[in-house]
Formats: sequence, structure tokens, C-alpha cells
Amino acid sequence: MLRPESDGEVKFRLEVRNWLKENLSADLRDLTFRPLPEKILPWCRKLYDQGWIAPHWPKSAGGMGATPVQQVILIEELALAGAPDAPAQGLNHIGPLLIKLGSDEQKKRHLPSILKSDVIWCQGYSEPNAGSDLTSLRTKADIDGDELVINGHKIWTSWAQHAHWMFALVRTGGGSSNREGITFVLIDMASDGITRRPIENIARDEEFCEVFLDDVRVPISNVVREIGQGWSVATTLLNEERIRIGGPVHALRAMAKLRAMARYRPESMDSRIADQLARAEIEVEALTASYLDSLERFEKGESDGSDSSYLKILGTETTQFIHDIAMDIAGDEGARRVPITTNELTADFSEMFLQSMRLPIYGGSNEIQRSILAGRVLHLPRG
Amino acid sequence: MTQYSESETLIADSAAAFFEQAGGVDRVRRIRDKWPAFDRAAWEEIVGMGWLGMLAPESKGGLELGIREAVVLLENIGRSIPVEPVVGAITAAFILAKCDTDEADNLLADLMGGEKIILPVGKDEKKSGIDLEIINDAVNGRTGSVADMHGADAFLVWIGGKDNAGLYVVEKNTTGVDVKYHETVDGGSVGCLIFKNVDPSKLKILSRENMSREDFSDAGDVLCLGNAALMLGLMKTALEITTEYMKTRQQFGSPIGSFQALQHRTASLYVAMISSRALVYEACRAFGSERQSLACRAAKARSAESTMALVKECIQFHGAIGFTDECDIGLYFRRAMALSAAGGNPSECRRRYAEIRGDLTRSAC
Repeated sequence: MLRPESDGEVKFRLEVRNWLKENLSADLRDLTFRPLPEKILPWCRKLYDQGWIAPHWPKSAGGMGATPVQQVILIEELALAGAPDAPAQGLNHIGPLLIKLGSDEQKKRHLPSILKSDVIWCQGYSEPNAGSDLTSLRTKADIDGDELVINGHKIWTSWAQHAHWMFALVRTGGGSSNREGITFVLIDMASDGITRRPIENIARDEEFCEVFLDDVRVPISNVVREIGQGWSVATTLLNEERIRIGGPVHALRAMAKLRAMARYRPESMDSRIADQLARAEIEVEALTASYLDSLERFEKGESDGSDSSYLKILGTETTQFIHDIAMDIAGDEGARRVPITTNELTADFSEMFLQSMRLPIYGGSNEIQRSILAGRVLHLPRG
Repeated sequence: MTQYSESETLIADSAAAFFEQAGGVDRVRRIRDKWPAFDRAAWEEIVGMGWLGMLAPESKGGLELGIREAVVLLENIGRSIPVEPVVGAITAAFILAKCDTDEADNLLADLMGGEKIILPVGKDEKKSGIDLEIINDAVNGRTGSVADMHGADAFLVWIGGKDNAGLYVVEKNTTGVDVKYHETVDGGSVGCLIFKNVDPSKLKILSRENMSREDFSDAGDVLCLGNAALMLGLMKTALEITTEYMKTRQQFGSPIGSFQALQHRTASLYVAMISSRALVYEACRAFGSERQSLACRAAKARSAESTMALVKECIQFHGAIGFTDECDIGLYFRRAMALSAAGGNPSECRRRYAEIRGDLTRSAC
């Protein structure tokens, strides 16, 4: 962050930095994969106890109600300390959605457990034939008394194998367009009829799953808003959600890895690499400035909804750009599989690079975001 | 996208309207053909707007506005790509006001009154940032480069030395000083001053005795940020012209703007432009803090790269007509080349950035 910090902000940064020094144990630092629930959830709980687990949630909902600058300070310090990647579906997606659109009962039941990190959530949107074209989803929900009976097939569901709950889009029928007749529902993953099959990704990580739903019975009280309003429920917070996807978290973690790689291979340093390092830092500053600007306007109600698309593109492509430079510095070791940890640093060659390949795909592919910008912001004609 | 306050909107609108009324890009075309003649009439009108004293205090006749207002002004001036050295003159006024001496105040009045065009001159970055120096009562050597200097009457130069180090004003006809400039592709110029056995006692010193080189180091920052702001405006207009063209130009029975291959590339330009804009306005917040220089170099490097990438695609999307001199988009392309190079090109800005930042691999956030 380039702007000067107030005394209070400087104090907060130091508080975070010192706290991380004492509380982030070595086995949680500089990890290239998200650690398994038994390891990551206690860490999230520590952040919760400290009051920092949900900086962007309002205080009234149990969050920190942090300013954009405080949020960036937290992101920067966590990245600098090498803190692990926490599961985000609860805190960044369904949590804020329920705060805005959930029933009182839904809020009471789910918000505290999300904050305390007792519960892992997954997102049941994508299907084998509904990726970028999400409204063609076919998982079906029939109304039977006060229950929905759900049948279908979700895929690319991050961390479904560990999840206790899923928020999903299902088709309840009716309506003339694909957007109508979709319902937003909360599914207890312990329900009968749910089969989860992990899929190993390109980084050899079982990060996502296929989820099969066979006659899964869900009480209608688990529907968010009304039956048939699912598309508007899912898209109401899309701008806010994607602004967060476009935050500098991944880019800053990549930057920490890049610095470590430069220390690990000092022999690679020449004026060309020095230029690339400066370029990488400037790109991260441009991203951080964009993120702060968007959050600030979002809070003032001035965001026009296109911010999230540009930030998604910028954040994910900046991250990949930084990984490219790290790979360049790694030289002939660039394809080594396992990271090296010395007393001073962890040099990750390929793992974060491979993991980063998902960034331009997930959360609405960057191609979809570019089409949104072309239509809604640049007003180019439809093809 | 960062939004203007009410007072900033007034500044923005008056700047944009002024240059459109002055003839917009048609005037830029005419100027280009008469080089090195300088459009004095236009300069007097610019002076009349009071903009040059943007950063000078009210007590000295300036507007005493902040760097952000200056950036808003320049962003909107940049939309019409004038080649007049507005950024240089605003920076000169900023420097002169700092001196707080009678000599400097008189020059400031001349500059803001339109009597003289005065521009600041930096160190010679080609020689790793060496200032001119008084050695054996003589000054020899060359200064750093100055953009759009062909209309200037005088220059502000820091000259070092054991005695009499300070900020000097160097009139263009000073004996032993060669004001050497070349034509640039946009109808502007780039050059430097070459000193040959110049007697420093013949030059007028402007700074106070207790002032050092450091007191003027932010001149380079204002220039960087100012040029970055001009490029923001240039990008905005060039992209508007191009998307309008893409909506009307038909091929294969459809407007070319409906083709996804072009839409996605246009969206990429928008992302680069809008994030450079956020960085420039973030640098305004950093102005006056210890991160000022860092932020201004980052803003210039990033904006210049976005601008060049953007105008290249603008030419490409126009097709063959974009390659003609007749098409206005080429004027934006050529001005982008000049602004990108002026006051430190992207590589040079990154080199300075890294230098200020220290060893990137060791330092924390």
C-alpha cells in the first residue's frame, strides 16, 4: 500500500505483525497448499478469538467492521508472515449473502459457526454442462410437502469432501427464461443421498470434487428468499464477492514467494531480473490501489458493479505474472516438484505456479469477465 | 473508477472544454506542421486560466491547490493532447515558490503572468544522475533532458559546487549555454542544456543559502505524476475514439466491435487503463509522505506501459486507416510515445523505483 498510514493504522499493522510472530507456528508458514481442516480450522479459530477472522463483516453481524485500509493491512501482514490460505466460501460468500438476504433463523443458525470456523462450506454452482453458462444448470429440486427433493450432479466443488454445508443453485422449474425457476438452497452435507468424489487437480491436490445428489431431502426453510428467486439471490452479492476474489491476497503471497526465490537463487539476479522485480512490485501496488479504490467506492454506494469484473481479471493475472517471474528466476530448477525449506526460507518452485492455473478460471472465468466489460462498460455491440 | 468531488468536476470540465474550444486535435495538427514555432497565443490563454499556479501558494498569486487537483486538471488536459509544456510550467512554479526569495518570486510572477515560459531541468540520468557542478569557477557539462522545451525562455537548474551551490535560472540566450533540442513525433521537442565554460557569477541564483538539492528533489516526482496524469486522459480519449469506431465500422455484415476476439482485447485495455488510474490517484495520497517518490515513479512507469499498449491496439483496431496520418488516432499514438519517454521512461522509472525501494529481496512491505 502506497498511501501513508495514520497513527492508528501503523499501530494496528504492528499489532498484527507482532501477533503473527507469536501465534503463527512454523508448521503453518509458507505452505504451498491449503492445509487440511484439522490444521487450518484451529488457525482460523485463533484469528476469530483475536477478532480478525471477518474484517469485512459488519460489527452487528460479529465481524470486525474494518475500514478498507485496515483490511489491506491485514491482507499484507498475513501474506508477509506466510500465513495459510483459509477456506473462503463461508466467510466471503455465504456469510455476507446471509447477512443481507438470509432469514433471521438462517442467520442465527449459520453466521456464528462460520465466524468460529466450526463449519466448512462449499459452493454448489457449476455442473458438467453449466460452467461459464451457469443458467443452463440442470440439478432438479421437486417440492414434496415442506421439503425439496434434489437430484443432480455438481462439479468443481472446492473442498466438498470436507464441507459440512453446501449453498447451491437448483432448478425448481417454471418461468420462461433459464434465469427463472432457479432456487438458492442450503444443503446439509450429512444428508442421505450425497456422494462426493474428489478430483485430483493439475497440482496433484484434491482441492475440488464431484458431488452427486440422489433424492436428497432438504427442508424448504433452507431456501434463501423464495423458491424461484435463486438467480437474483446468487447475483445480488456477486459484485461484492468478486471484488474480494480480486483482492491482492494471492498476488501478495506470490510476491512473498518471488522474494524468497530471489534469495534462494542470488546467482540469477541481474539488471533484467531486478527490473522484473520492480515491475512485479508496481503491479501489486496497482492492484492494491484498485482494490482500495473499489472497496471505498463500494462502501459509499458508488460502485457501478463493473469493478468486480476488472478486479477479478487484474488480481488473477497479476498473480500469474508474478509466478512467471519466479519461474524465470528459478532457472533450470523451475520444474522441481517439491519446495525446499532452509533455516531462512521456503523456496517453492512449481506448486503455487500450478495451483495458480485455476485463478483465471474459477469465480467466473476471465473470458466471461471480459465479455461483461465489453458489453456493460465499453458498450460494444452484442455478437 | 475514482470519482471527482464537486470542485474537482469543475476543474475537469473547464480543462476539457478549454482545449476543445482552442481547436482540439486540429490545433495539434497545425502546430505540428509549423514546428519549431510555438503557439504563443494559446499559451497566453492557458496562462489566463491560472492553472500554472496550481501548486503555488495564494500569497504568491497561486491557486494553492493540492497535487490531486493538479492531477485532475492534467488528466483532462491530456484528453486533447496539447504539446504545450503545462506540466513543466506547473512544476517550475512549484519549485520557484519553494525558494521564497525575491528573485524567485519575480520569476514566478513572470511565469504565471505569461511573460516567460520557465521549465525545470533534471540531472543527467544517462550519467547516473550527476548534477552540473561549479569547478574552478566554471560550469561544464550537460543537464538531463527536458520535454517540450522549444518555446521556453528560461530554465531552472540545480548547480552543485563547494561554494554557491543552488538553484539557478538560466535564460535561453546565456553565453556558453547551448539550448539543444530535437523535434519529437508529436510536434513537441526533447533536449537539454549544454554548458561550456559558463561563468556562474553571470547566472542568477534563486534558492536560499541554507537550501540543498534535497529541497528540490520532489520536482521530478511532480513531473512524473503530471505526465502520468496526461496519459490517463490520453488513454481515455483514445479508447473512446476506438470503441466508437468499432461500433460503426462494418465487416462481414457486423460492426467489428461485436467480434469477441476484439471485445476481449479491448476489455484488457480497459483493465490496464483503469488500474493505472487507481495507481496515479493512490500516488496523490502518497504525495508528501516518505513514499512519495516511490509512488510517483510507480505511477509513471505503469501508466506509460498501459498507454503504449493501449494506443498500439487502438491503431490495430482501426486497421489500415489507423496507419494513415489523416486518422486522428495516430496523433494520440505519437503523443503517447513522447509522454511515455518524457521525464523518465518506464525502465528508467523502475530503476529509480528499485533504487528508492532498496534491495527488494531483503526488505519487507
